[in-house]
Amino acid sequence: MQRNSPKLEEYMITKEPFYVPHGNELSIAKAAYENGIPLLLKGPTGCGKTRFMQHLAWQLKRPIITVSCHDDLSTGDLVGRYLIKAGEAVWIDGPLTLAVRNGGICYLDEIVEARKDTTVVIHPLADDRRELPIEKRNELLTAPPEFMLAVSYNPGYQSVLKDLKQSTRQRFIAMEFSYLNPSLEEEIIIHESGISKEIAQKLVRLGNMTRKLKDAGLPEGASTRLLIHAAKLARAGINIREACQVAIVETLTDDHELLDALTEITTTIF
Amino acid sequence: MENDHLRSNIHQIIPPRELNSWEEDELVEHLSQLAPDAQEATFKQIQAIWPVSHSLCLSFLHNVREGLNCIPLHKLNHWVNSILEVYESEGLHKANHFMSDVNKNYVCKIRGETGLPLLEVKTTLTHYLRAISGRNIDIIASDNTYTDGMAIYLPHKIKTFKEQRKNFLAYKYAATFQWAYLAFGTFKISPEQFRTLVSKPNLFSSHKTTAISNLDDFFSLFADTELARDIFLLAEITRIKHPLADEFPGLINEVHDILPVLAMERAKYGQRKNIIIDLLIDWIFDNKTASYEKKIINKSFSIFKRLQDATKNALDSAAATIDLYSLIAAVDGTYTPIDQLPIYGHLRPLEYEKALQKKQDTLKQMFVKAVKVVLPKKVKEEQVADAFQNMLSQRPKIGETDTTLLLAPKGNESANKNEHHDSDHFLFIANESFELPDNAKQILNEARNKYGGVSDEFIRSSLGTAGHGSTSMLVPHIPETEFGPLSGPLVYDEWDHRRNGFRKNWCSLLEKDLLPVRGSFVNNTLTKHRGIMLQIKNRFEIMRTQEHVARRQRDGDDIDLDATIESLADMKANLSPSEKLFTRLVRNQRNIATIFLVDMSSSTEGWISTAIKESLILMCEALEILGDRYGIYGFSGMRRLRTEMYHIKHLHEKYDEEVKGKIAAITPKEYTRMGPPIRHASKLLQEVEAKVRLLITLSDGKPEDYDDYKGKYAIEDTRHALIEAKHMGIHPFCITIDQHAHDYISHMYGEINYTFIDDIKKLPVRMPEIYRTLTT
Repeated sequence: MQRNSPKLEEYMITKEPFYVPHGNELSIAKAAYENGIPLLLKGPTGCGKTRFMQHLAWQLKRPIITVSCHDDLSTGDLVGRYLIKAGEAVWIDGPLTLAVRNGGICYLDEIVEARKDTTVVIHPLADDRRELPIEKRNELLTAPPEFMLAVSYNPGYQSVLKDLKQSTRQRFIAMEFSYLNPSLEEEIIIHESGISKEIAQKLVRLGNMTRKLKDAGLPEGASTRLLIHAAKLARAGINIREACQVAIVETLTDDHELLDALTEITTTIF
Repeated sequence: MENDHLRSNIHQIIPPRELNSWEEDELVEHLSQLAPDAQEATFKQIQAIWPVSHSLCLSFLHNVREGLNCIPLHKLNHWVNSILEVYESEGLHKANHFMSDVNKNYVCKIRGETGLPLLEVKTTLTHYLRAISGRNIDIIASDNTYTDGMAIYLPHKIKTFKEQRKNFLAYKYAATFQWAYLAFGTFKISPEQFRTLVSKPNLFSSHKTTAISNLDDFFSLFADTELARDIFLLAEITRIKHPLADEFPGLINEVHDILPVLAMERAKYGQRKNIIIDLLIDWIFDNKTASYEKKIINKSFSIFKRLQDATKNALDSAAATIDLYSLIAAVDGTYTPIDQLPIYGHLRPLEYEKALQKKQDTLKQMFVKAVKVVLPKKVKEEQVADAFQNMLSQRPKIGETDTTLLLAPKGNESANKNEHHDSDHFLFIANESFELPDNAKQILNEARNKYGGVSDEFIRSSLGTAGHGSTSMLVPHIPETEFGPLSGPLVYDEWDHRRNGFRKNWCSLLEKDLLPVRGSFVNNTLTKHRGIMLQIKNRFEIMRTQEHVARRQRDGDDIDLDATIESLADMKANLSPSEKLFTRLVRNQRNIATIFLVDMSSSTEGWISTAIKESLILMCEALEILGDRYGIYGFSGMRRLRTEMYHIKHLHEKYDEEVKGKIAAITPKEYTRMGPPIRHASKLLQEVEAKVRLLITLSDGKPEDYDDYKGKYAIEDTRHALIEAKHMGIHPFCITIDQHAHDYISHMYGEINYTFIDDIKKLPVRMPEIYRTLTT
């Protein structure tokens, strides 16, 4: 029986990912890391959760393995399975096992998307036991101090089926990520897209206006990511109004009244 | 022969079984009267209309010949799109009406002859204003353009331009500018600022200048009040245009072409005294054709140009008014007032004050009501109201009055800083301090931030007696009514937040049956929303047929390759291989049970009640497709001894004629005591075996009963009932129909467990959509 696992070095982040802290989140995360407590990141989509994890991994100099959760994700997909190679059974570590074995960071993105029976596999890993049982191999892995577990989810989903169980959530330190303050957001847009300060400022203003429409029926306001998309399109020579239309307005809603209002906001600013 | 050809063409689009023979004959007859190319174009359109609504399609064919007499063939597609739009937003009846008079309803419109009615753009503008201002500002049609701070009044119709887009731009710019008066502080000159301004030159007699408190007082200082008013308006427009161009360059670019045209709308008077004003007006409308660079008025322009600076405020405009007034007053002749300008409208400081006062009064009443629970009886309501008013107008200093509202920064005792961004609020009465209840704090914040004067905080340390209120005062006296606790099968406790405990067996709930009504309501609803219903049905069908391939089954339709390989590998690795090697197609077992709890209080009278009924019908139709279990109950009542719960449909009951009749029978009754019905519905849900239990409340706002079940007490009880439901494993969710979102809603239901519908007409469409999001 062989063990044949992907190389962890590939998951090392070598270049500093651009990240602007908006509070104490980096020191909190580092303190959690030093004490072996897992992280739960909450917040709307596109506000920097994943980028924060990448930056943290870079600072801690640990490889980061990101798993985007979906409802077909099985325990085997996380832990690993036997495969046949050249007539021989070969064990392949799943991303979670890989991170535990080598002391990396395992980041489960949008964890509520995974089925609840899958997420329980992280339970023994997320409390003070820090253990990962691999039934198939009859092996019990104990996570080294370098290992860290982090999960993220968006509490804004209203579906009752997509809520995090108390038994899961009460194992984490939870940090809320929200929309950035205007000057930070502006800085990020400029850095990510290379757009002029003037346009970045206007994009931020546009973003904030869409966020005010949340009570008026818009499920969620424009995320920083969307603003960056628009900025990148504009940088590539697309007319800024058109860029906002396709990158922000049309992506936010299908309701034609809100679409009209959003379009008008765009044409007012640009 | 030709008819046969038509028939076969029709059959290609509409299956023969869908049409009666006489309907088919009628269709063929209508079509045969058209020219061949028109026939072809019409067939294309039928393909678009038929799936949306069969009846619409038939009446379209009735009307198409007449329609094509008025519009060219290439416009047919556009016409049909307009028909579908009317149908989807206003239903079959309106769509038929729209089709029946092509000239009046369509042709004139695309020519822009009839102009753009405000009604058509109101929703878009409301959303737009909300986005730029961050609060709800009403848009109201009026003969005059102005704002009173709470609403923006715009003309019923704008028909200056042939192109509707330009008419719309005029509306948009007008709405933006009216908002800008508010945002850039046109009405916010304080009495002190006025006094300093007018005391400088020896223009005004001193006895007049002492009583000045608002813009109207200021204008009345001048001999020609109207001239002063007009100059100030123009000065403000000049000033505001400048920062507006910075904030919204896109808008300013867009209106660049239409402004000069709008300037023409205004009548010029031609008197000598009016020349400068006329020229200034041309200037603010960017009307370059006017030759305003004449020597005589150079000075006026220089006065105005000074206002084009981001640092200037309304006070500078007032100063400019004084300067320019003296220039113009020296010219001979009489002055004819502007009346009102397109877009920019006019200023109504009095209406602004009135609306502000009204808003402050409402908030004051809410505040007094909210504070009352924590105050001893000896404190009079007027004292609290005065303290509130004084805080808003920033008049008193501490110690001058017996009652003072203090906004004190949070001290070191704050254990959790993240939870308390706001400062703490205290009410001081005769040297005793009382901490304000949460809802009172919210009202105070709203009043200060949105409707107050200049906000400066009183600092608590300036008063020696500061501190937390004596706790004995915080527990109010609860008057026991003449009735003792109840007993019986349907008795529920009620949560009293003041004592932090239950009032045991406090409410009695009566289950009643609604008498079904026979009538056309259900059928009318289904016809009215036929188009929407089709869409909803489609979407719900997709949910029902949400199939997935279950992997690793003991038996099934196909071999699970992954599992097989794994088991082979396990075998090789000397492990016992799994026998679950098959895949099987399974339908998702939804296993969801839902109870809809419908508010039947008197406040739902009229539109709300109808919309609720309509949405329940659509909801039932949709749920029948899905097969989820659901029950519907209405609730209302009066006082704690008679909360009534009306049975419309039990969870296990079939959706039949009787249920339909009961839905039609929903009528507004009395009050809204929400606690008992929620507790009862939770109990009903708890008895059901289901993986997900959902309790959806449909209500039009706050819980309130005839007795003291009001305000915070009612909100807290409702909140607690919902928390109890959550503990039972039930997911409560609330759909609130209200014109304004209130902070208490999220407190009551939790941040994400509610949705808020501001346009009642949308409820029938939104409700199934909400259910869908909730359960997928």
